Amino acid sequence: MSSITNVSRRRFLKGLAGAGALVLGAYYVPKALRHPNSQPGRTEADRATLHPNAFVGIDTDGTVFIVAHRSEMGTAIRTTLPMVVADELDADWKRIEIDQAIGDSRYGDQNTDGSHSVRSFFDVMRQAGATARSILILAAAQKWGVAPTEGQTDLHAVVHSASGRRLGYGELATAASKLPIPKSGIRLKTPEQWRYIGKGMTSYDLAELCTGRAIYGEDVRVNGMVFASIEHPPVIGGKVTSVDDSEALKVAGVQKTVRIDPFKPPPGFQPLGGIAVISDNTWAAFQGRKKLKIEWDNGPNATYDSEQYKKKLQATAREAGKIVRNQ
Amino acid sequence: MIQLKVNGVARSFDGDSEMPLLWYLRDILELTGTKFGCGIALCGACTVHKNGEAIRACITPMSSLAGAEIRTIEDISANGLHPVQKMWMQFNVPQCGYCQSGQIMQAIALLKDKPKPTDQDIDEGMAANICRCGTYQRIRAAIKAAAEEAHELDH
Repeated sequence: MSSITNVSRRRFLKGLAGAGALVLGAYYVPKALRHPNSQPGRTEADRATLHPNAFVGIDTDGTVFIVAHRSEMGTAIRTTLPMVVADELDADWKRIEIDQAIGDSRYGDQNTDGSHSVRSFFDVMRQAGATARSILILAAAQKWGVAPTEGQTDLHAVVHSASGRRLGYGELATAASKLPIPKSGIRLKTPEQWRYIGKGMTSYDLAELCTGRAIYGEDVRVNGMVFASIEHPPVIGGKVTSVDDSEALKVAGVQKTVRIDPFKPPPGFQPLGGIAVISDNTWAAFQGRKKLKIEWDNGPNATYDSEQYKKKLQATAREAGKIVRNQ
Repeated sequence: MIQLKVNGVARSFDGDSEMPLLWYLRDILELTGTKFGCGIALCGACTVHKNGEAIRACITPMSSLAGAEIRTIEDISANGLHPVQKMWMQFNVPQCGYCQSGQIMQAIALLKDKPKPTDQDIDEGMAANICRCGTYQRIRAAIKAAAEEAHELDH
């Protein structure tokens, strides 16, 4: 076995450990979050009548809210993970509303990168959906006075086939919300029972994406919002020695400039620093930026030469290497 | 003062006449369906219609728009889906979707010029609209289907 495989297996185990911690997150929701009026960042799922865990909410009209806790960047992850919840909940996809979460520690790691969202959260999402489904079956069984094992679900409803009785999820939401959240005996579907997983669904956002209505980060508008454009140091690690912004401030629409301190090494994901021009609109910010007169201290990388570095890399690549694979 | 129409509404603009249309649409009119991609007319994400022709809003100064009729993605679907948008959905064209407002506006303009485009017509007409997700195959299929649907409606 090669050392590359060893590395990826270690990563895989690390991913599983992370998912394990989140299974608890899906089950254990602090009471304060079940009554979230005092909590910032609450979701529609939090506000719904039945709210068995952080990812699911069901209202009395049958609307099912599913929280997407990862960031959408074009992989349709905010469709995919809620779809897994909906499948285990046996919910009708047409009656799902996806609720985009903001950053909140109760969802665990939300850093959406590394192509591992499904791998890390597949089991968590299945449990979140199946827990909600179990509690709906329990509520229906109580109403009918039958054993919970006699209850089945059939697309957004609990059914008792022996008697032909049927109650929709919305009709059960209030009764189910009064039951303790089951901690065991939760039945997951078998893969043959999946309605959505692996079936070639389209994005929840398809219509929005085809009509210009989808809101991307840069499309968010809030009252009193201003626009900014940043002149960064020409060399990474550099900083502003002095700035003359008098001409920039004369551009119509420019309001002010702001100095942004450079990062403390290493750079990581920290801001590069520089001068931000704050304006009424993007164009004014661009124009103001062109009028800045900045003197830079190029810092520790001032003498760094990309061409020299490239040559060094090329020379290193031609040297005899050390074989690291296991034969 | 520049007088123009945007999505059928009369507007007047008295700001910097060099401001590109893109920022007027996005920041001032808050029509954010039109996207900022490159800012130098290389990608097509900002495509809108000026008097029915596809233009790049990011390099079109307001000074050139006196009396112009501008149409954006928001107006295309104001009264339900356009045939091109219907086919975009049927063929599941978008992935991240960021370029698709521009793609759709370009496709509508293309079909106006060439109601029955060949593959070559589509490739040439759409060549300057870049999609990083690589949805080109589905774009081509959706345009052909939209052309066929429009053709059937005519006959």
